[in-house]
Parts: sequence; structure tokens; C-alpha cells
Amino acid sequence: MTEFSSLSSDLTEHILSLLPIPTLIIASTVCKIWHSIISSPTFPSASSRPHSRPWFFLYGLHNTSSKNHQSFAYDPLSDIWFRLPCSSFPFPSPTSSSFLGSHGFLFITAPLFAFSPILHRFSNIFTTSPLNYSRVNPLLGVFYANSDKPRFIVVGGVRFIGNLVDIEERLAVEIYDPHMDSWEICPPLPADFRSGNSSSSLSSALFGGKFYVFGIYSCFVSSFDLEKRVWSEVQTLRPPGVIFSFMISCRDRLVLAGICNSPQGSSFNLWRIDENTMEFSEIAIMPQDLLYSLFDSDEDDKFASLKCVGLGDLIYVFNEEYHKRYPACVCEVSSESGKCNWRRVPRLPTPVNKFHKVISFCSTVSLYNMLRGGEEGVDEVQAMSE
Amino acid sequence: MADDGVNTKVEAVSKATTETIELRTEDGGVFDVDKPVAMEFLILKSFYEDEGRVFDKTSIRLPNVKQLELSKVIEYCTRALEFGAKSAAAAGDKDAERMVRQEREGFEAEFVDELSNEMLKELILAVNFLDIKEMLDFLIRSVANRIRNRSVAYVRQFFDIENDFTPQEEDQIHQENAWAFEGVDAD
Repeated sequence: MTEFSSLSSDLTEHILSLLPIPTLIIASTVCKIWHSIISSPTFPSASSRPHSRPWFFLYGLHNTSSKNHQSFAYDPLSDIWFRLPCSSFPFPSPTSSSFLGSHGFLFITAPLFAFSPILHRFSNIFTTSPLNYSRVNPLLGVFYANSDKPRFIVVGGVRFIGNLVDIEERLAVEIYDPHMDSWEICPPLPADFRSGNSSSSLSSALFGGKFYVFGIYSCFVSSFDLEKRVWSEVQTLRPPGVIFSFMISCRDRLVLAGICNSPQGSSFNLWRIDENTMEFSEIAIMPQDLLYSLFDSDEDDKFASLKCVGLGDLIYVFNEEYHKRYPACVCEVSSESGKCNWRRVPRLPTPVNKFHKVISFCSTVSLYNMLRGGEEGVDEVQAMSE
Repeated sequence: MADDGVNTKVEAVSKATTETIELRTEDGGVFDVDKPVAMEFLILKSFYEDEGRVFDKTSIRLPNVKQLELSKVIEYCTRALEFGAKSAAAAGDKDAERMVRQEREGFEAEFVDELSNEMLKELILAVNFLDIKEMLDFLIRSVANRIRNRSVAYVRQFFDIENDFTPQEEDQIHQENAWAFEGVDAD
């Protein structure tokens, strides 16, 4: 029995590499050797494997008191929700009501542009030089082009000028250059897309060097080439019967996910989209009982509160209505077999407050940032200014 | 001393015509193991291949393995070979492939369910020594399943590891990611 404690470090590391991230954080406190194995930059944790199972984040904002804000994160490998601390809301009120999350960061875009890494050991806020056109509710993407520093692309949104909102203008696309700390102006979103409350009527996906924008109800699609800085022509992408749908960037394919009506009734379908031709082919249908388990009522417009986000090998579908505590399900898209596996996401841990706004997104997380983030010289996010 | 019950069981498995090899464990167990199964133990395979020996019914002592562990190893490897053969036979037929896969998963679940934490650890040490890759992978996955979402205390006890952090050090790591400590199953 005592021999097990002197298990070779190879075997120990192999066992540890199979564990979900929260268990690894606990394991890092077992003893110093384990801490150094687990927090090593070369440790092969789940977050560094090709099969990407991003976490699902749900931030709930309470309109009268920020003390009643709550945030939760779902780890698909542990199959557990985690209640995040208050520090997960890094931005001071009242601007905190308008933030979004993407690729490991939380962002606010007005009145300043600032970002903060999610689930980092220290919740630092980094501020960039301001956008040329300050805006709220834009679409936002994060990419790394020839750089270890993240670049941001901001599309659309509603003009924000000293607390006044201007819905007429089509705002230029802006791309952040981390080396110059400046925003480059690019052609705006094509006029076919109505401007306005972008993040609720548009969905976006970064795929193959392009930023795709898709109208959830209008079904218009266009892609912005990140290198050439031009928008493609606007097309309509509407498989038969689609009422509304979301565009998702999966590990190796672009996917459309949405509610489809047919003579048999309503269903939630997934289609693979060819990024060159925008041709669609159906890859999965959510089991009917799973779909109906997300709803309480039987009203006609019950599907309207469905939201869908995804990344890597996972697609999350959830009901943004408070009533059943935001029920959700997740689909694992396997590229080898082409099969899709649906399952319910467990219920949120109680208590869950009633929120006036819910901000939800999918993101990979970094074990390294949780254990070693912020240390001199090894931080993957460079501070722009204080 | 040799456990006749175990001996009989193993001999019943091997057919009269199959070559077997005799393995002796450190606590006096004696096993007649089918050649294909024995060759899964890379430590034996390399012994025969390196020495250029003809496979004959010699008796080999396994100093680091006890009879309870060896009988479990033989059980697993024998079934693994059977599943391998069934899988090959089912190749191309998706339904048949799925059935074999499910059968295998059922066997593995039952196999590991019956193992106490102690036995699981002993098996890993034995299988590591015998160098059986597939079974080692399986056992390692099983250990990971047992400690996932468990508390620090449980994990320390499982691996028999002393805590060398000071309370302050441990507390600091705990504070930085306190949220991760809330999902644990009760000990």
C-alpha cells in the first residue's frame, strides 16, 4: 500500500491528465509535487486537448441591486455547475449591465473599452485606448493573428454618446491592434442587417479566418475576411422551415442551430454549413422530449426564449426564461463519427435569483491561468494600460 | 501455497492443445496461463523475444505480483483478447460492432466495480510491472473516475500522500480559486 505513494511521476501525471479542471485545482493542494506537476505550463490538462469541451457561463444581472448578481459556470467534463465569486463581475456598476463574454474574456465596450480574463487567478481589468465609435451591445470576436496578444474585432452595436443612444448610424467595424494600442477602422456591417440591438438579433462566429454575422430571424449571412478586411456579399441561409437560428463555430465546421417547423411539429435542428458555398446539410435533431423538457408552458411563442451558444465540440441550448431556472441541454458533436450526443445539463445550484438580464456564452478555460496566471513574464494577457 | 481453486479455474480456461506457461507469484500462487494471454504481459514477451528462446513450458517467478492480483489480470486479459477477436469478426457491421462495444463496457464496469480502492491500487502496481498497456490505461481511467470531484482529504488518503503545505500556503491556493472546492462529493 505504501508503494502507491511512490507511484512514478509518469503514472501520476497520466492519472491527473484525465481529471476535469476543478478536480485538478483541488488536486493541486494535495502536496507540493502535485502542485508543480499540475500548474506546469506543459501539463496536458483537458483544456489543452484537441477535443474541446468549452464551459458554459451564465451571468445573471439584478436590476435593483448588484449584490443580487450571480454567475455560474458549467464544466461539461465534471458535469457540474460552479457558483462563481463576486469578483467574476469585474466591472463597476452601472456599466456592468452591458458586458459580453468571449474566448476567455469579459468585455465592456462603453464608455471605455475594457476586458478582464475569466476565471483568472487575479481579476485584473485591462483598458485599451477607446474605440473610435463607442458603442453598446456590439458583436465581438477574439483572434490571434501572428501574435500572442489577443486582437479584438467589434462589429455593429448601438452608438453611445454620453448616455445617449443613436440608432441611425451604421457603425464602422473596428479591429484592435495590441502592439499599437489602436483601433483600425474597417467597412461597416452591410446595410441588409438592421442596425440596433445587435447582440439580440444577430449571432456571430469566428471561423477559418473570417468573422461571420448571421441574422437570427432574418437569416442573412455575411462574412468579414480578417486579413483582407472586406465583407462578403450578403446571402440568405434558411433551411426549409427554419423560424430562427444561430450560427456557431465548432472545432472543424460551421454549424447552424435553430427551431424548425414542419407538419410534424417543431424541432431543434443542427445543420453543417459549407463555409465556401453556404450550403447546409442536416446533422442532428434534438430529441423531442429533451426539447419540451426545457419549457414549462405550451404557449405558441415559448421557443422565443431559446438561446444557443457553442464552441469546439459542444453546442449548448438553453431557455432564457427564469421560470424553470434556465434549463439547458448540451450536444456533443463528434467529428469522427459525425454523431451527435444530446444530454440535459444539470439544474443550476440553488438559490437562483430572478435576473432582469442574463448574459450567456461559451468559452474555453485555462487551468494555467487559474493556478499561475498573473505571474511575472508568463501571463498570456499583456497589460495595455492601467 | 498453491490455491487449488484458482489453479483449477485457470486450467479449465485453457484448452488441452493451447500452449501454456507456468507463472509463480511471490506469495506461492501457481498459474497455468495460455500463451496468447501471457504474451500480453510485455515483460514476458520481451523475455522470450530477447533471449531468442523457444516458448516451452518453463516456470517463471513474478517477484512483484501476488496471486489475487495475477488472477484478476489474467481474467481481464483473457476477456480483452476475446473482445478483440469478436470486434475483428464484427468489423464492417455497425450493429454488431456496437454490441461488442457495449458488452465490453458492461464487463469493464462490472470488473472495476468489484475492486476496492486498495485492490485497484495493487492492480496498477502489478500491471505496471507486467507492462500491459491496455489494462494499465483502463485502470488509470478507473482511478481518475474514483477521484474526480472528490475532496483533498479523500485524494490524499487514496494515494497515501502526506500534505507538505503549511496551512497558510494551502489556504492561499484555496482562496484564489475557492469556487472549485464547492463541487465536491461528500466523503
